Amino acid sequence: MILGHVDHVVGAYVHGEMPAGDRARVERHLARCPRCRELVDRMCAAHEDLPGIPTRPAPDSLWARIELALDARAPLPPERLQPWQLRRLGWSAGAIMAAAVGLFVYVTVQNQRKPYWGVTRLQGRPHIGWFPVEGSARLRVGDQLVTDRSSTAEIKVADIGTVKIDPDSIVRLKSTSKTEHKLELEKGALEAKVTAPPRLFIVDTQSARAVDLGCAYRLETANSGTTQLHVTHGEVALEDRGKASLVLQGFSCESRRGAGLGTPIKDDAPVALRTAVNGFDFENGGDASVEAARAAARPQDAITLWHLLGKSSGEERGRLYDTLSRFSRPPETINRAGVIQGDAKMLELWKQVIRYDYGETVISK
Amino acid sequence: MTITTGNSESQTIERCRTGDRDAFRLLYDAHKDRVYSLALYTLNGDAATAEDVAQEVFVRVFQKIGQFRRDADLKTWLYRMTANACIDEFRRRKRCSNMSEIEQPAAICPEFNRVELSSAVTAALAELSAEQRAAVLLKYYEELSYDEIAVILDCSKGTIASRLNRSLRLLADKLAFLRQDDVERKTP
Repeated sequence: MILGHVDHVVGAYVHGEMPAGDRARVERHLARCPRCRELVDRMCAAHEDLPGIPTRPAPDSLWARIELALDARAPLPPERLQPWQLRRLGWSAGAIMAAAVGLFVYVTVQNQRKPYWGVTRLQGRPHIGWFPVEGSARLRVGDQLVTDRSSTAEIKVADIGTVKIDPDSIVRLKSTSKTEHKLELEKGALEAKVTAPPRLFIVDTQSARAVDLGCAYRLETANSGTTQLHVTHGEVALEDRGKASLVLQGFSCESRRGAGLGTPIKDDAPVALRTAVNGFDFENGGDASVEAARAAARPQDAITLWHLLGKSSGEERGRLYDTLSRFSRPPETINRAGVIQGDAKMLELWKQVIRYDYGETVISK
Repeated sequence: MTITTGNSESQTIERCRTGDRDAFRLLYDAHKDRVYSLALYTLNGDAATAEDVAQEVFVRVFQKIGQFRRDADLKTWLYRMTANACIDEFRRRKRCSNMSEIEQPAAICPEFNRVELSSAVTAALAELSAEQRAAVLLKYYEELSYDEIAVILDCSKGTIASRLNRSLRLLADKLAFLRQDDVERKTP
């Protein structure tokens, strides 16, 4: 019942939210009360000022944030069954469902516990397993990231760097921990930029293992099993079956399934040197290839000759020693006889000297 | 693809129940702007917090879609969560800071004053409590009835009537000068 002044119901009156009887009483009161009439006028004016508030578009970044949050949280709980649904289910069906749900939850929880790296879609529609990457997603240990011909993606490798995945590639996260981050490049190409202590980030391919020594590099693997490594900054060790090639900045190295590791060669190496090294590594070129390499090499190709030193023998190794010692003077503890005999300590020490002389970024001179 | 009818929305909700992320994207696209706008206006143009609120609302929707009653209205559910999240945010700020800081968002969406609302209306809305502002926005922005607003804000219709009455009266006082200016301009 409305009696006296109508201050307390003007809102409902203005909004048309008042029963007809009350509305009639308010109007009768307004007809004789200038004070309340003035209040209604003012509130009607405000009422007219307010409508027409337009919609603001949500920011484009919102969906990516939601997906990240969804990925970070617990999986969806199974839908709660309604009583009528439960009645319909027989005990056996219920038991099977409970077992299936239990298994699903167990597998999902186990999966959620796995460590992961963040993945950002750059182009197209990359997938992690069956699921397309929309914006960003998580690559868990064991997961495969697949890009087709029109898609690319970027992986954030823990807190040590990034890996950009080229089109038509497949990579799999093998493990990630404080002591080792391991990726497998099954197909295609990637570009890695890593700032971490040496040997923390590793990429396996069909024919080799690229071990980061503080660097940026591009790694490609073909269906034939051939792996190509090109180092753009720092240095990388390309390893296979206990052997290793040290690939410095501005060098490339190849590894072929069955044939093993190749010799690192500088990007601007003379064609003659490139032909000779390829012949030695993959075409049984033997001493003739070593001789051709020795003749074509420049001082900046010293690390290439050093690798040939380790692979050759006898007098050919002696001649390589002579050429290499002109490019990088060996310390007093290294001598010709020891090198010809394949003294591992001498060869390793000389490699470090060459790194110092010709490595461009790793060792401060 | 967009959701155009209630029927297709209920089908999309059913797909969401199975964890279908594409279906959820459809729901998101259909409601994102309304949810974000409601949060933005309720939070006095604080764009960063409005985005946080909208994110939280949609994440909770997707996580709890299995508990959503089939006969319920998704929009009502969304607005309820949005309004409550905004009110909670104001209460949280109230606990952490003094009143003068509460109504001053860290960064106001640049277009908020300039385009959407006149600065006078913006300032007047900022004088209201978060609860009052939510009710006003649902009334004027979504054009909902008192009954619908009561459901969304989880209180009685009488409370909503009282809240809107006080709000409209306060807004009338704050916006009175606009009429005064009109009168003065019209006076030779």
